[in-house]
Amino acid sequence: MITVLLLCSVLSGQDNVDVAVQNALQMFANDPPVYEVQRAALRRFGVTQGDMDSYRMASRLKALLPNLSGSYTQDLSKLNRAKSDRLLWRTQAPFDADDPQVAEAESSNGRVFGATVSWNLSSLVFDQSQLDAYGLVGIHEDLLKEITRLYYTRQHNLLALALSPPPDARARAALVLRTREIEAMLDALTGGAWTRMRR
Amino acid sequence: MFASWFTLFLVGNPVWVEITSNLPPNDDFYNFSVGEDPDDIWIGTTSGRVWRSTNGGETYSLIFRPGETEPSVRPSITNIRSMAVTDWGRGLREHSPRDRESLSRRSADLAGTVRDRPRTHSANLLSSFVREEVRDDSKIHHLIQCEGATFLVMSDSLWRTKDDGIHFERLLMGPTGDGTGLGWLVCDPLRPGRIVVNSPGGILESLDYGDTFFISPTIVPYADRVYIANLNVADGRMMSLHRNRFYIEREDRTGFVKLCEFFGDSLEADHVIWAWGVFSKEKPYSTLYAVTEDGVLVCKDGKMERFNDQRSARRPIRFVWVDWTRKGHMYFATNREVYETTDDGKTFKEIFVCPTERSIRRIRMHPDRPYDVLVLTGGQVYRRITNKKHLVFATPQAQKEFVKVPLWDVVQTAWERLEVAPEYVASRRRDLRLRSLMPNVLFAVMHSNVLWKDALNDGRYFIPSPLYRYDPEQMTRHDTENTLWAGFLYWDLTDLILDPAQTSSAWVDLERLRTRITYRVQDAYAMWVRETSALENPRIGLKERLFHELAKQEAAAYLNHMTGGKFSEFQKSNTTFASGGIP
Repeated sequence: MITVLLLCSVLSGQDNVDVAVQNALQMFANDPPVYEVQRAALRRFGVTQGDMDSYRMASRLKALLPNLSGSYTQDLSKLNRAKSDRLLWRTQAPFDADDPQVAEAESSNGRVFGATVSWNLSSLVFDQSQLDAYGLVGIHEDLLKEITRLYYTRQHNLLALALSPPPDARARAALVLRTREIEAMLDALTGGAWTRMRR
Repeated sequence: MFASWFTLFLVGNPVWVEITSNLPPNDDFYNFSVGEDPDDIWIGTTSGRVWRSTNGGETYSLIFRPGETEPSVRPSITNIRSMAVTDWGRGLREHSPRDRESLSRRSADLAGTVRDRPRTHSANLLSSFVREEVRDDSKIHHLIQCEGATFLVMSDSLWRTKDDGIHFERLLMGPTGDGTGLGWLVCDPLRPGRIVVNSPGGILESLDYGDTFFISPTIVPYADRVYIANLNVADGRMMSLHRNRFYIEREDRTGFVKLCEFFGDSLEADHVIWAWGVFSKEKPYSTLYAVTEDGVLVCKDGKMERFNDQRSARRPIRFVWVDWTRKGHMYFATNREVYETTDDGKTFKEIFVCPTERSIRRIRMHPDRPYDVLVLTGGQVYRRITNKKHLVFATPQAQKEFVKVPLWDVVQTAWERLEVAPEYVASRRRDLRLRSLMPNVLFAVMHSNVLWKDALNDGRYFIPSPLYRYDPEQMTRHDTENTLWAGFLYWDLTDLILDPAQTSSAWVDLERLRTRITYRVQDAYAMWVRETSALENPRIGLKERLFHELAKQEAAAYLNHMTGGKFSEFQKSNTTFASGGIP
């Protein structure tokens, strides 16, 4: 059908070539737009532009949340309560039996509960994890390049099969297989969205 | 062939163009070769694929892929080890020395894969050469083209094709020849049909293209590894490089004479990484260039000398490419840079710095275009363009389109969208110091089961401080709370001078990322320009026009996303990209 279409286009003159091109490309009318496929892949991998922006913003805003730490200390060594009148020894004051200035003789286990909250507000200006978030840009760009290439390589193969199929059966089969492989990869990269969008 | 007129203006002269941007990413390049036509480029990958471009990198076709184009070969981990597309390259590890004129008319179109796993197969490119019975440790060493036949040297056997790879036959070398340990094979340029093979049992010679072999009377010197071997084109004598010794066969063919021996400064100085020989008809001896861990050593007419290199800068030379059509003209490649010398190594000029993290694996040049250098890294092939006739200039109509969407604005918009623009990154780095003005805030609370008592009054927690003064009026016993509260604010003001994060290596990675994005956008733009220009040609057929249209759409789809839709927006509008302002 496509060959007949092209033949008609050629016969109608060079001025209609552009129209003929667009007509021929109608064989891909059921394909989802490339930007939808790109979006689906980026969304599946979590590296959309919005994801990257949110990662960068989150790396700064995380400074608003505190670091929280808790501690518990139990001292089983018994607090030293020796009856040493160190205060009197130091001050040379006369001994007062009502106030002997000695530690109490009692002893018990010391149990201390502690909690701290801290904010590193400098991260509001810049945080090192912002730099790490740039790693996602590389993934974003790689994925975009790959998904775009696959999308159009598939169309290229289909066009080649329609317009100039290889005369050798093995080569023709290889081209078909290659196209199927590309479609499988498109499905894998978009989480099946490729097939769903084509329906 | 290369639609890179814009790149010419961007980079200046000479122009380096990446010619593999249309290849899929994540394929690790291992080897490449260039055919008789300089635009006939073959690239072998570590995954066993061979890509071929017949238009200088404009488009590629996957011509060999284990399991697909060659269904009988399993898609295992294979490695394109040796490529013998044509034999003008004169790399002795891959080619035989012959007259250039006679060689340039031939093209065998062969590629070899090497087995990296047991029970996989080795195959050549276009033929049915698939060895089902290969040993686990057998590897393809070389593809060597000789007059009338092409030989495939594997580690355990020798194969021959006389029809450019359509059929291969295994050559029987007798009990001394078969088995592991085949090292090299050379053809005698003076006596067609004579080949010499270094076999486990000694040197074997054949005078009938390998139909029959006999043991050579020449006693071969022992070496644990032969790096390079050849026949001197002047008189057919054998020459070989055995680890760190370069030998030539005696005139009476009774043995070898040592010409040079390499001694270096380091322990690995005699470990040859790469070797290159230039064989002259005029002189009885020839010149051998050996790249070692200790620099480039040259054995010239029986004398050895060492080239100046970049060892002091910790840039050891890894490859050398000798332009034997021009005296003293050579290229040297380190891990990341390519140098050119025109005075036989006395001075170097840096001509290329790898823009990515991938290291340089091969450099090549075409003898007819000695200044059009090709550099292969693990992920790209770059080509230096010195001849403007290879550059395609856009038609006036197409140029109007390009003016509406100039490359620089597209690149700049992509940078800004991804927040990698140089000025933005630089300002972020400068602002890092200001963050030290922001305090670190700490609140702490502690609760104890025993009372926190006044140390002075209780005496249990006596603090021997010189500030303490005894005051009997305060010596009353009283208990305090069980809970203590504390708050702190502190600043790292030293970071006002230099924040350690300002000099983090992560900024270098960011610069590399921007470089990569720039190259990708440039390549896509080049593709768009090329296809737009092609579509302006009214003489191309409808079928061809369709493929150009698809390629143009592909480039536009990529650029459109990278610019957040601005690319197509300005294409459609009557305003120009630049006058409309960069978003």
